[in-house]
Amino acid sequence: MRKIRAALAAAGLAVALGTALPATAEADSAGAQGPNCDAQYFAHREDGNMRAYLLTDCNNLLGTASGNDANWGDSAGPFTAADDNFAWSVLNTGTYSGGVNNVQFYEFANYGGGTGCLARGELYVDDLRDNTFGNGARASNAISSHRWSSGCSNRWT
Amino acid sequence: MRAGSTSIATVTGAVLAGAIAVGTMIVGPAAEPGRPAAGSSSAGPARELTEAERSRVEQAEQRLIRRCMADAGFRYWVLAPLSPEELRAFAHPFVRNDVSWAREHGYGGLIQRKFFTLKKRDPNLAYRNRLSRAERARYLTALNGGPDTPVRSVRLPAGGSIRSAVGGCELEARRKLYGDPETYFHADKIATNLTPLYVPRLVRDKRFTTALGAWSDCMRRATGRAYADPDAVQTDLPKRTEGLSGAEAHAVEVELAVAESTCAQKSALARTVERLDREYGAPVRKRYSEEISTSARMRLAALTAANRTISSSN
Repeated sequence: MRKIRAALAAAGLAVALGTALPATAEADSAGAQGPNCDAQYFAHREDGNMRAYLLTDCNNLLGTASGNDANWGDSAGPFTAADDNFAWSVLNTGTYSGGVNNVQFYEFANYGGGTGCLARGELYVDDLRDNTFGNGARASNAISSHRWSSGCSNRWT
Repeated sequence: MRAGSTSIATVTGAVLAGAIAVGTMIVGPAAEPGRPAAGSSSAGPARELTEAERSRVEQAEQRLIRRCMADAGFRYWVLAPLSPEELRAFAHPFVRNDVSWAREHGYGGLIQRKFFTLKKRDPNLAYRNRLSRAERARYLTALNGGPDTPVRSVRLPAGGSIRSAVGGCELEARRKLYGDPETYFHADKIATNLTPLYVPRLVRDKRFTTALGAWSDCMRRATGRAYADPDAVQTDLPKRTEGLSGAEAHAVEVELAVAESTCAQKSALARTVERLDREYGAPVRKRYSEEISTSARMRLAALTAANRTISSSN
């Protein structure tokens, strides 16, 4: 099952969070696990793109896209063969864009198979090994297409 | 099917769980705009907003952000919103059932292409990129908070936690519309992520597999091809349109989308999924009725505030 992971850049922030959160939300209890994702998030915020990385914690950029890519395994679009089934972390720094600002990822090309989503404002997924597609398949080393969406199905955490 | 060893129910279940995770988008478009929020009966007459109303709230939010950014010394452009009609090209329901939309737009390929062209010309992007490094940092902090923005976190009923860090003018705008953005965030994320709790059982129901089989038979008659589920049509679409001109590709898109929607009605697949969603979802929505009614009530309050904002700024 997916587990809770930290979103915070610094442990100091986690401490501040404990007091800032209202009673209705829970504090992230895990330590900081995505410091580089955090840095990347703040460096690229509002640039209109999504990014995918070869390694966890947003290391080793595979590609950057402001549009869709229906097939990461072909030579067209921002993601090409060497990127297919290789992503271990993803980032969404999209703009508001009229409400089409969530990124829906898919297990197969042409938006097929299981799916998972990273919404605008919900930071990043620093380790896809902690997540699965909606059909239960593992999400790491498995993304083969993505598209921007108004909804957000099977949120990755 | 893509994976020969995987059962229809497994694959479809995943797609379905995804498709209806956003709440009303079981079949596209939202079948009952303005319907009462499920589970809200004990908490007053809160209803879900229509697509047009949601759009109005978002526009009001954008205008509030613009005003707040101006106070902070920055420019911010409020773009014309996508119409509910256009937005359907970016929603991915389990099955489409609006034949007239399909007849005009297919799966919305032209709308999508136009959108991504315009997205690149977003004046906010150009403005952001023109700012100096230091100014950009100030701009982003003003817009949605700095690195010290508290991260809100909510644990989803099906597992995992969603985190979000929104501050600055975006948080301020939400506060003006929703009252308490933290409470809304918590309630809304739970209320709109309930389907994984019951869809795996729903797709094993014989009424579902029967309706899906009837839809698939209908598609075979209409297109001459075997599609096990609506997702298979999507996957097949690029192969059908490869090498065609824009107009030809659009015609193929329309043909398939019209077939999918017509068959969804003829086979009663759309109706069956809606009925089963009500049936299987009821106990789950009852369990989370507080979050559902809270988020619906707060959306209605946001609509009222948005109407006030828009009329006072005109």
